[in-house]
Amino acid sequence: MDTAAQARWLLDAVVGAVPLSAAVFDREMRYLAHNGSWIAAHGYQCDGDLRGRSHYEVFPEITEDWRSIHRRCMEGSTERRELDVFERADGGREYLRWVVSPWRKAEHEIGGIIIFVENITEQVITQRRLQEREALVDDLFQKSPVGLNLCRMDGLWVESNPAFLDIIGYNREEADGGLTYWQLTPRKYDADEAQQLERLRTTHHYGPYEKEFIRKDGKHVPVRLNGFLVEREGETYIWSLIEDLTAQRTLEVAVDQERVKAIQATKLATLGEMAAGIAHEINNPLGIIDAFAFVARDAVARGDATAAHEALEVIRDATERAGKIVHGLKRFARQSTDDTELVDVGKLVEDTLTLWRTRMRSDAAELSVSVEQDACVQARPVELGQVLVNLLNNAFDAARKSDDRWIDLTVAFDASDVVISVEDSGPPILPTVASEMFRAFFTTKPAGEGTGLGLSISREIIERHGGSLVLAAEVANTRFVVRIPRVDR
Amino acid sequence: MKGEVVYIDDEPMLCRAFSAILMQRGIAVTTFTDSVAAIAHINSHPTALVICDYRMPRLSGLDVRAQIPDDIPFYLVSGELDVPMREGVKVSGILTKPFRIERLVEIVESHLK
Repeated sequence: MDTAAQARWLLDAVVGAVPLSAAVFDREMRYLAHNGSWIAAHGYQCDGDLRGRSHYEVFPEITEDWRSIHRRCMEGSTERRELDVFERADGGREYLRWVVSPWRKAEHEIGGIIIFVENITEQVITQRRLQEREALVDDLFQKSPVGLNLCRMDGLWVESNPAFLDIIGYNREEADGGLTYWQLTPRKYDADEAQQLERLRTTHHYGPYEKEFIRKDGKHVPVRLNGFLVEREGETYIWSLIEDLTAQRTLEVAVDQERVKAIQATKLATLGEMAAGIAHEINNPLGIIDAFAFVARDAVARGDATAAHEALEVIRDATERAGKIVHGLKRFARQSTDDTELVDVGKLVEDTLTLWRTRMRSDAAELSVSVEQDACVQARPVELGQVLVNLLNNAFDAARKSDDRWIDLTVAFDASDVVISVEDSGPPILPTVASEMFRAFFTTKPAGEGTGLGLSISREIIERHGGSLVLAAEVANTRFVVRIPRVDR
Repeated sequence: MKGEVVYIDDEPMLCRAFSAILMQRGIAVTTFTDSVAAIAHINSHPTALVICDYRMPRLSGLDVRAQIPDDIPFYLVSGELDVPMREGVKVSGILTKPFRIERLVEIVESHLK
């Protein structure tokens, strides 16, 4: 092979092996060499060999821009473009990187130009997508209403978003200046923290976990945390999502206050229903006092000291009797506080019955009470008394409709609970009623005789005491059973 | 007027006081704390006057009125906020609690004159 043939063979081999679109031209822009990628890039349909042909004849659509680049490079300049947009005939867009430079003959005379074109459309699109994604993530990080925080395993903070800084009340400089998770966590959460960290280690995530952060102003802010482990450049970090629960807690307090009001309102309604009986029960001692004062006056007039003395004793007993009713009334009607106290259920039953018995007189219903001594619970006595009255009122209304008319009230306890059961001689509750009766405003009583709140409020009260209120199954009559966790005196 | 005075109240102390007071005035009174027993007694004994509490176990004061002869004067004693009167049941008067015991003595004396 002669030298010229060898040089051409070498040129073809080099151009063919370049991983870009490449073409070599002589001074008249005739192809000396090109590769397959060049033809593909130009969308040219032919047998694939352009050697010897003029670039401008093959591609008459070559722009004046390109033609002038070619001319300048023929004069010795080298031009390159890192990002060039190429609008394709089909409306698509391609991104190109290219370089055009002259090649010289042995005597340094310019023999033509070499063009390398790289289609970087895919890289450009991928990079744009990455940038868009990064902007999106950054936007989310900045604008998220949920606090976001990245910290090292030792608790040192790496990144915090504005929502999180807002929750803890620090500015960015302070947060970036070495604040740690532990500085903001009250000591009382130490044990919980250890537990969450252990979860994080074994399951790679933690939460939902409710705790407090100590704000910069010293206030404690309730938060809910969720988080997971991430690896970044070989180190392990914790991403935490922090929700501020302040608004939720405020709402919970408001709901709680409404609930206390509802309990009070129901109680007053119950009291209203019982007013006639209470009036009767106060009137009787008043009548006795008046009558025995009259008897005493008669006795004094005729000098019968023994009879006078006896009458005065009766008056004192009657006063005491009226006093007990008032005591029971005070106990029942006073606003319940949130504080629980040690309550002897037997004693509570006794107090409640003093008031409640006022209902029993007009219609016969035999009330039998059996109380196991020392049945104590930690409770709000006013609320518990209200539940008893509600259950007794229901039992009384049911018993009245039956033939034998009795109510059984028992207080007993087992290892875990104090059990109060109220059973009446009334017919069993229909399944359709049983499924609805714990709902608020459900009542089977005639208008004006029940608020429909008794059982729903009663159940709520008992559940707030950590207990349960249910209708006993498989009882021939009707029996409601209250269970409340028992405590030792 | 012939017959005895009958006082019905489920409160034994009131029965006791009333009978002691009338006794001092030379008037005999028969008292009952149970309305059913009282009805049986009234229907088998000449009765001049009945004073009866409204709110009682078993039968109420109005039930008593309905089950004894209409011509016996009948006073209803009531501590109710609203006395639940029944159509067709006539009473000679209603004493609303609380009242002075003199009122009862006056009623008895006016009927015995």
